Order: sequence, then structure tokens, then C-alpha cells
Amino acid sequence: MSARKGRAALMVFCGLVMVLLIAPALVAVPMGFNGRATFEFPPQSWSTRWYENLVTDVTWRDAIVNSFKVAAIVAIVTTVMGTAAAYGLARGRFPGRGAVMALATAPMIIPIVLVAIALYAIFLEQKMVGTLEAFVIAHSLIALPFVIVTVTAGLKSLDDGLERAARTLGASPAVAFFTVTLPLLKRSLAVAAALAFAASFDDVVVAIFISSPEFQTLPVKIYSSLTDTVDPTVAVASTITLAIAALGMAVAFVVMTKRGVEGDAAR
Amino acid sequence: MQPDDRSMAVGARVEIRNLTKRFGSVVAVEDTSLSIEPGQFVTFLGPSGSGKTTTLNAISGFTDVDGGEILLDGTSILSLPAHKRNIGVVFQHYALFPHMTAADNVAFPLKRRRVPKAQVREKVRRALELVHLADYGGRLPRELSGGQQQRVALARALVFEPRLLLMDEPLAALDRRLRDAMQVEIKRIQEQLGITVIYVTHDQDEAMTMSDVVAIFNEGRIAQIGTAADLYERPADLFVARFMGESNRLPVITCDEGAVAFAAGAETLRLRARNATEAGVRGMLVVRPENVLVGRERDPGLDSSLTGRIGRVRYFGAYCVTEVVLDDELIVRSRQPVEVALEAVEGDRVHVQWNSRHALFLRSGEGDQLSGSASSFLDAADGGAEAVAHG
Repeated sequence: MSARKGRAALMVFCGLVMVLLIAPALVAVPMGFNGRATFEFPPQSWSTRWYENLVTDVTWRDAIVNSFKVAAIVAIVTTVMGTAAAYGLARGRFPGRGAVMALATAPMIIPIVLVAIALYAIFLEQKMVGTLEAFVIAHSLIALPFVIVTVTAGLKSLDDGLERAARTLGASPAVAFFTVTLPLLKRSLAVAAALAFAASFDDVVVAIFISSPEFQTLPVKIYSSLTDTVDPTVAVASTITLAIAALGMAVAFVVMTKRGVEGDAAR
Repeated sequence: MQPDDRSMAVGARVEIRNLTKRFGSVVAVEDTSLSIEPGQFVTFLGPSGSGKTTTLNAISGFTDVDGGEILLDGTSILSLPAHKRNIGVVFQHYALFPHMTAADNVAFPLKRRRVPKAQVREKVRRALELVHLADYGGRLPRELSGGQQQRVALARALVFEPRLLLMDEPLAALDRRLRDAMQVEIKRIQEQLGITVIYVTHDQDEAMTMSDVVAIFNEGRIAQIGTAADLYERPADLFVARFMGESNRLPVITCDEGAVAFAAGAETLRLRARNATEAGVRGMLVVRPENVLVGRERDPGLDSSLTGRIGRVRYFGAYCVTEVVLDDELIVRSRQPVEVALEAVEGDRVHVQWNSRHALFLRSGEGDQLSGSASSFLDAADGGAEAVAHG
């Protein structure tokens, strides 16, 4: 009886925490349907004109396209680079392995604004501010540690005897990697790519430094339109970002649960 | 596979010459030489760290050697990478690819060799038939039992018709009964294919029942190589005697050819022993428990005898093991069928006796640590030996 009561209390508590975490973000949703150009909440009148604005206004559309473009390239680049790095770190036997691992994951703990200033200084000198290349380089730096950590964990759960077995059966080290290790890392790679995409898509700090009026990503556009104008399109952009993030989380959750089942059986 | 496959899958001749491998300052394999005939089933037996697995890895290509040569049918394989050696390997933990079905696992080595598709299907079918898993090709490894997984691993290691198969403790992960069945199975397949097998284990029963030849490894060297009977009946040193089967070991010192002195309490006894040559050598008198009889009376047919009192008696169904505690707490074990074993009560004074043709003298090696009581025994016998020899 008291156990059931305790359980009910726990559920209420968890529910409250979830509401507190999510509710502020959800405020943006009705704001996007505001009939007037204000940020009042709740809106006095309703319309979908800001949604129209998001797709018709060239600056918004470009920002969205840029964000997707950068994030997609970053996801691909860092997944390839990070997997190679993780493989070397997990399977290689060389001095200073720990130091390399620490260095490779350092961007995770260095204050992002420092990274932003450093990158800005370099891109300014190279005249790369406001270019796709600059964004890809900067965001790869931010996203790479997520890939390395995820793929290293995946590799550690794999029996390294499998590659050995493949080699006794006639597979060269490279063939063994591509026919045995890589297929078994599929899920880790998917999660890593998703995290890298999100890390790039989410970034606002570095992006503010290295963007120009000609090349902006969505978070920069949101930030500038909040500070410069009163434009409920911001709320629409936030709503869409929120929906994408939620979808990503759902996909990652499904993938991870399946992975758990498979991991158990493989043992 | 069909009997007509025999000609193509005949075993390889393996020669290991002066193989040496160091890990830092630790010598894992030291100047080891070994010659294996085509079609032989050779077991590497030894405790962990004795060099047996390192030797196996040197053959399979996962360990670079520091010296020596490994020849397969007269050709050195040391410069070949692992994937070009064409040697089948079965691992302790099966190492089946979890993302492939049993059939795809077995097909893997054929695909690496670019065997045409139709032939792959046929060879996979025959390999699975060979291990009695013809209907299990579509299953994933996780849907198979441990024994079935090991059979698939065996089929996978054999399907490309290697002439040498290496097995690294392949049955260690299975339970006792399954292990016995698999031993018979592996032996049947080996004989059917005529393939050379090198089998690594630390289980002496496995080594004795399966092998044509057993090589006992100790501290990076082969302590002795021979048939199971050779090793059991004529161990070359104390390590082999201790490692193969149970043995009673009495600390003794030789007094002349064919005789040793044993300090039994206050008195020194002269016992006959095979292998004792010159006088004054310290070592052990080794007698197997099954050759030791316990009796209240002296048995005139047995020429060696000690006295003691009955200790623990353990019943094993088919036989029982009687411990006789000599003076100074040394224990001699006798293993006899239940109907032969003496019905005795703990503490009874009895004779432990054996025929001296079952008693073997083996000198103490440098590595053989003598217990405190054993070395004081020897010191007592030392004086006694002279008395016996001179008196």
C-alpha cells in the first residue's frame, strides 16, 4: 500500500520536473500562430502568416538551408574522421594513447566561447568568415568529440577476436574492418552521426562569431531577429527546431533500445 | 565431406625450429623445436603462461617471433601475414560474426577467396553437414547453443580446406558432457579429413583421449613430447609427472643404481626405483595412486612397502581413494576399485605397498620447490643414504 503511494508520489514529482523542463520551450508554439507582430502570450488573435513568412522570406529560408547543409556535411565528415580516430585509439598500441584521447575530446570541456574567439581570429585572417567552409571546419571541431566517444564505446563492446577470426579466414586487415567491424558498429555510427548533426545544428556561440550577413545559420538568424526586430517568425523557427530535435531524440531512443537488445544477445 | 575429398585435404607437415619469442624481458617461448607429421593430432598441453598459446599464435600469424623458423610442408610461413597463411583456426569463444547467419559465417572464407557463388553454396552445405548442422544455416549465432556455435566455427575453419587446423582451447567454454561429445566429434572429423591438427588445452584428459602426440609446455619450453602413454608412464621430469595425472611423490636421494633412500621418521629405508643411476642425486620417487595397494598385512608380491595410518577415504563410485599418512605427515594416496580397496577406519595402522617397476625416480629440477618438510627429509635421508650405501 505504502509502496504504491510512494510510486504515485514519484510519478507526480517526475511529471512536475518534465513540465518545468519542457513547458518554457512549448510557449513558443502558440506564439508562432500570433495574429499580430508581437510576442504577447497568449496571443490575442491567430494566423499562420509567420509560417508563410518563414518559407517566403529569403533570409529565413537561406538560414534554414545553410543550417541543414552545414550540419549534414559535418555529420558525414566527423563520422568518418571520428570513426578512424576511435578505431586507432581503441585498437592501436602506441605510446601517448591517453594523451591523444584527451586532446581529441578536449573541445567538449573547453569553454565554447574561447573556441569561438580562436576560430574567429583564424578565419578573419584567412578571409573565411561567413563561408560554408568555415562553418564546416568550426562545427566539425565541436562535433568530433561526440563521435569519438560514441564510436569508442561501440568498439569496446565489440569482441576484437572477431577481426582476428576474419583474418585467419583470409580477410586482410582492411577487409576485416569493412566486412566485420563496420557492420557491427552500424548503430554506433548512426547515433554518432545524429549527435554530430545536432551539435552543428544547435551551435549559436561559434556561429555568431563566424557568420556574416551573407551567410547565417538558423540559430544566428533567430538570435539577430530577436534582438533587432519584433518578428514572431522566430517563434515559428523555434517550433520547427523543437520538432526536429524531438524527432531526433525519438529516433535515437528507438535505435538505442534495439541496440541494447542486440548487444545482450551477441554476448 | 565425401571420402573422395580426402586426397585434397590431406594434412600438412609442420616443423618448428628453434622458435623464440620474448615479451619485453619475459621469454614466452624459448628455443622450441617440434616436428609434426601430416595428419597428426598434436596437443599442446601446459599451464597458462607456459608458451603454448604463444607458439600457436606464431603459427597462425598473430605473433611476430624473435627467432627460429616455422615451416609448413617445407616452406617458411613467417613472412606471410595471417590472412595469407591458409590455416584454419578455431577460437575458445567461437568468434562467430554476430551479424551473419551460420551459413554466411561459413561462406566468409570462401568469399574472401572469390569462390564462384554456386560452389560456395555447395561447399557451405557440405561443411554444415559435416558438423551435423545442415538445417541450421539460416540461424544467427545468437540463436544457436554454445555447442552448435562451436560446430559452426569448426565448419567455418574447415570449409576452405586448410591442411592445418589450429584449435585454441575450443571446448573450454562448454560444460562437461557437451565437451566429451565434442571431443569425439572433432576426432571423427579430423580422421575423416586427414587434416593435421594442433590443439591447445590445459585439460590433460582432453589431451590424452584425443591426441596422437602430446607436447607438454613448461616455462616456454617443451618439457616432453610423446604419446599420452609415454608421458604418463615415462615422464621425463617432475613437472610432467605432476602435470599428467595424479602421482605420489616421496622426497628421496639415490644411493646406487636402481635404489633410493627415503627417510621414514627416524629410520632410513632403501627403496627400489627405475631411473636411479649414480648415487647422491636428490629427487622424488614417483608412484601413481592406482599402483599403490593398502593392506593390513605385507603383500609378498609387492617389493616396496611403507607403513602409516589411514587418513581420509574418499568414495567415487567406481573406485575409492585412500590416503595413508606416513610418519612426518607425508601422504600417500591409493586409488583402487571399491571391491579391492581395504575397508579401513581412520587411524588404523597399515602398509602402503607397490611393485618397484611402477616406482620412478625423477631428479629435482631447479624450478622444483621442495617443501620445508621434504628438504629436512632429504637431509635425514642424506645421512641415511651413506649409511645404506656403505653399510
